[in-house]
Amino acid sequence: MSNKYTKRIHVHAESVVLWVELVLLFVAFVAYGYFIVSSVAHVVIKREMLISKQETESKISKLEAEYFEKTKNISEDIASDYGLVAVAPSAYITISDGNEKLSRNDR
Amino acid sequence: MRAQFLLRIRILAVLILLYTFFIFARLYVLQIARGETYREQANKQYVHSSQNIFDRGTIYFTRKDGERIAAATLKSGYFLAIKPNKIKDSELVFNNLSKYIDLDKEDFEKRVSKKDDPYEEIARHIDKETTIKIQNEGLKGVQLFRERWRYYPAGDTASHALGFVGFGKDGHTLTGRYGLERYWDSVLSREGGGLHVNFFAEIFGDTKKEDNKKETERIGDIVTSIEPEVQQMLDRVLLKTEEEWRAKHVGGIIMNPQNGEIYAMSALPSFDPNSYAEVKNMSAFHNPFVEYVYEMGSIIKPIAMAIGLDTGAVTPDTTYNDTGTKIIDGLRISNYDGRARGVVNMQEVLNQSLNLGVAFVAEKVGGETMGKKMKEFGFGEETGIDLPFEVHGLIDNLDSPRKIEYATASFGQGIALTPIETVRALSALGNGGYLVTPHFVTKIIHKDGTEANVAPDDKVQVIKKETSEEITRMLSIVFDDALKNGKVKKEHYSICAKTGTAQIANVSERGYYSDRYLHSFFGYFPAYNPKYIIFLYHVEPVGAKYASQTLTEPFMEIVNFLINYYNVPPDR
Repeated sequence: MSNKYTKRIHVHAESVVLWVELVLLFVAFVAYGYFIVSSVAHVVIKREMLISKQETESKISKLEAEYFEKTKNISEDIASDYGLVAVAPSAYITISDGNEKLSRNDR
Repeated sequence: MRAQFLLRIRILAVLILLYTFFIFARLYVLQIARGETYREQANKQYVHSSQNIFDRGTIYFTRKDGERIAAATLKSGYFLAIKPNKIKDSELVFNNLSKYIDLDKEDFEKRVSKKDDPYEEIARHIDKETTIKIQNEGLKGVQLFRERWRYYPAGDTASHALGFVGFGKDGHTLTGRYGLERYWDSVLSREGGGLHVNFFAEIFGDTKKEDNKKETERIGDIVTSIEPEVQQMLDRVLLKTEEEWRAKHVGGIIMNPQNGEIYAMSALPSFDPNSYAEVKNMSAFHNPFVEYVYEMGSIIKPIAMAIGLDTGAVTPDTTYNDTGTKIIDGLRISNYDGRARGVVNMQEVLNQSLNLGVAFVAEKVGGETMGKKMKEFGFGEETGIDLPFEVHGLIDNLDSPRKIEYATASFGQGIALTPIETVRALSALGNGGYLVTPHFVTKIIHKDGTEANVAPDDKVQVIKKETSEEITRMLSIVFDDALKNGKVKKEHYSICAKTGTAQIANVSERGYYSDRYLHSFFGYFPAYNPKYIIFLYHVEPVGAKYASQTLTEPFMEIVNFLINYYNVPPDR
């Protein structure tokens, strides 16, 4: 025969709920701080990135402007200064299909 | 006991709810209601930030290898403003600023003297390095604001096609005013300056996002078919032509006749869109290719001839007796030199550009059919090119009951066409008989990186393929044998070409000026599978009467460049 006995445990439900709510309140405080900080950081980083992107775009546009300026000034005289010479007139031949022995690069 | 417990719970729950509400309310106030003010205050620690900094999509040129180069982009920098009431020693401020930027002293003093004015703008487009130097001077009453502006790296290159951005009707919103900037404004423009909106701001403030979703999906950058090297070459050739013949207007276009992609479009006088405000004559902003109409003269003859061939009214071997002049409906028409040629065939009509020859074709075709077929070539209608302000040609004469109107229309007089309308019609001669839609923009690059092809693909057949081949053969003979007496013939390349010298109408009196001409020239190659159609014109050139004298050399320069640049293989 087994001994059956019961033990009365007094749970302070009010106290538990109170603590849970206090913890929740604390979490809310921490979360508020966290979100404010991360929001500010997010805005700052994003703005810095945007400015950096804009400055890079600006640099690219400056380089492109230089490119256009330089290509505008390309002339035969400049080419001669760099030692470039005119390509000899191309000579063309007709080859039948499958004749792989003839080079197609005839310059 | 239990009631007390429940009360405490409720009080705490209400406190948490109130606190949550407070947090959201506080965030709303900080980021939405007063967000801009706080942002401004924060930015003042370094430099000031403009509200709604300008943002806009990029326009690209496309090189032959597919590489994209920005034709219109954004440049960032700073602008300088002063608070006149904070400046005590204007001389000192002026001297310090003058070390870094060009200032007009008189103008500066005038602005400083406006003590009631809280803000006076002094200089714009200052680069970052200069801004830092000015900042380091620590001048009281001097403010620097970040700004961005539209920038065209290629300067005046393709300015008529690109257009520019300027202030709209409201006087403070930047919007596309001319060219592609205007036509594609809805794709290029960005509302709200593209500034970041953070998570909470989105929650509270972006309620219209869904409504604007379709519009947002449409925005992006645009890619054009303009080839920068080809465009610059065309600019150079036209400048040289203008210097040599001192014409009032000069224009040129290079297009793919197979699909309407425009590689280059240039017109003089031109302008630099970076400094459009300095242009005194506003008409320089007009794009003559779409906004002006001209009587094109003899370059219309191949179209009349193609109609004759297509309808079966004539063949290349058909002959007629050329008497040099002819009276139709009581009015006299003549060949350009008034000389009779006797019995000649249709090839000679094109070779010698005989007005009476094409008038013969018009007569054989019949006025009504000739008018109908010319309209099918797109005469009198807009081409649909992606440029604003396009007008259509004036072709009332093609509805006339008089035969004379069709005779003159067949050699390009009495009807006025836009250059782009003309190029589209001439393209049909070589591309198998199709009308294509001339266009610049081939793709839109959306903000998410996806690309959408937007090139129109709406070909309309206006003459038979066989007719296209026949007129091409005839025009290649014109180039090989007749143009400059065959001196410009290229041994390994078949090229089609035709010149046009049109009298210019005297608007104040009826009739034409006897000493003012419009010279035009068109050609396409490789003749039987053309990749390039070139159209050149200039209005009232000085020192030469005929287009063959003034435009053959520019045409050949362009052809030679294109052959080399694109490595066009020989076709004969």
